Amino acid sequence: MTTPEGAPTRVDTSRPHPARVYDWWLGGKDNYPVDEELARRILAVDGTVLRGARANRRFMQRATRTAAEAGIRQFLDIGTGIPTEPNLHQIAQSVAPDAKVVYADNDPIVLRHAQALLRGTPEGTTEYVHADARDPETILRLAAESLDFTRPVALSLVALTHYLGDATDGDDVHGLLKTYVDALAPGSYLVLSQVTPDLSPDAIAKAAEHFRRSGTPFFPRPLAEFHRFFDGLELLGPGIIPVYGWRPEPEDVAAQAEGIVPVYAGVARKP
Amino acid sequence: MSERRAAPTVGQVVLGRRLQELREAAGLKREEAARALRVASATVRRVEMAEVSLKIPYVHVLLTAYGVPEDEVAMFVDLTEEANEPGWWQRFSDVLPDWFSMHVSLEGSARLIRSYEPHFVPGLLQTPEYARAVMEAGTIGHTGPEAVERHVSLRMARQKLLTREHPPHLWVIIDETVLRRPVSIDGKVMRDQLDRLLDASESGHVTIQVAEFRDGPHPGTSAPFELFRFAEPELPDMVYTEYLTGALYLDSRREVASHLEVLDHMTAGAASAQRTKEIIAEYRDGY
Repeated sequence: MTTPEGAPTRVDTSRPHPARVYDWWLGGKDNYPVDEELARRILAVDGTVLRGARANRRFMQRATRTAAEAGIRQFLDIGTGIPTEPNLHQIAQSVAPDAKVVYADNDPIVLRHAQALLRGTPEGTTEYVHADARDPETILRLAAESLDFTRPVALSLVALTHYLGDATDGDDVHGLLKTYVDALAPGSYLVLSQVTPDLSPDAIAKAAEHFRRSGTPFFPRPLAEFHRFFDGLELLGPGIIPVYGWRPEPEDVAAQAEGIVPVYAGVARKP
Repeated sequence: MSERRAAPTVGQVVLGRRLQELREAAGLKREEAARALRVASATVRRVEMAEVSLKIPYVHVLLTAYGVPEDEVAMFVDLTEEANEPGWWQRFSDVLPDWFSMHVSLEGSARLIRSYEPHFVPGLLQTPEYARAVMEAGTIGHTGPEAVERHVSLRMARQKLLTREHPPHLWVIIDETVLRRPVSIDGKVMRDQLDRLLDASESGHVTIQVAEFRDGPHPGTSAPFELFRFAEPELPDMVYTEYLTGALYLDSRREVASHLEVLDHMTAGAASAQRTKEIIAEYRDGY
């Protein structure tokens, strides 16, 4: 694990953590009772979260495969979360065994899980960076120890930006994304998905309130706000779309029948 | 919290839970299932809890009563026969206490084994010489050298799971004490043992982290324990912890979660797997 000097190893497991709440929704066992409690409370007001979590995982897999098949050999995944099979490096390295993958997360426990359990191919590289998405300078500097930023990189923030606020909230998520994209070489990919209030506003407002009350600010975004993340980039077909609809495979088409998932997804190429 | 004296195999535990789910899905109470079997409802409970081994005729009657289609019944019967096969460790029954055979079954079926070891190298990573030295020190008078050899053989046989196809992931946190405490006056025993740890940490399915002295106290102040996770999603994680004359197998959500939380705090605070290799190598060169 690469850690910036003096990075605090803050671990507070008395409050729910979004990565472990997510793990519970995915049917994982790396969560504690406080996480399960919040996961259940949100599930009660927004019945889409279980399929939403699965849909995000599947989107990450399809988008990663798309990037790898397009020839990209370097991947930077920010907000990795608790390992869930198949993981990003497994998808990338199944297409290209020499693919280099860097995982970044700000939570030391989450990152140690990734470090212990996400082992790549011998030909490829799988590295772990302990840093916060709000600190692009650190993430980019540490990722550059493994990745060559003069060559294309697939940068993914899957189901992460809804935990980051706007400029008025002190995070300036659009500014952050611009910093990351500016650091990428032409031909790089940006892979994003995030919760939107557009499709089921009442349920999402309640879910957001539960997150906020548990100490995790939550920022669902309408289409125009999500679209802005891709400014200056070329969206790949079919553009921005509810997450199951992004280049669906038969399993995703079948899953769509379960009902809506209030999450937008998109993949774009840097010209 | 439950103390088991009998030792069901993991397969039996899974099938017992599955029987319970099928009964509940059929909307039947234990009493009603018991009526179909002409037994007391306590027997149904014991079957579901894997406290007694599954009898094939029982499985037939119960699944038919639950309206399970015939081909699924046949599959269930096959699985039952498989689960009822005695494990390889039965041939060590002379030295294997009942309370430990469940442990051997669990570790053999687990997909992930996480453990915390404050005193000694985890059994699955011990060399025969290290194991022998620890056992000789740990048995107080009433075990002869032959029994010690049998224990060492059992331990080495358990280690085969690490070299089988699709081995489990073994993720251990050892206290620095483990590296510091020689188990023998012969320095080679420790050197070989620490080399073994270094070799193991190169394999893709073993992660070793040291909780260093310099990081001060940590939450692992209790006895050593292990957490087993299985490929079957319906099986809860299980925690195993030993005391002088027996062991506890914990599978309640709250107790397992507390152990998981301790392991997670320790993994965040302990040296990284990479740094751990350097620490082990330094100690190795000191013996």
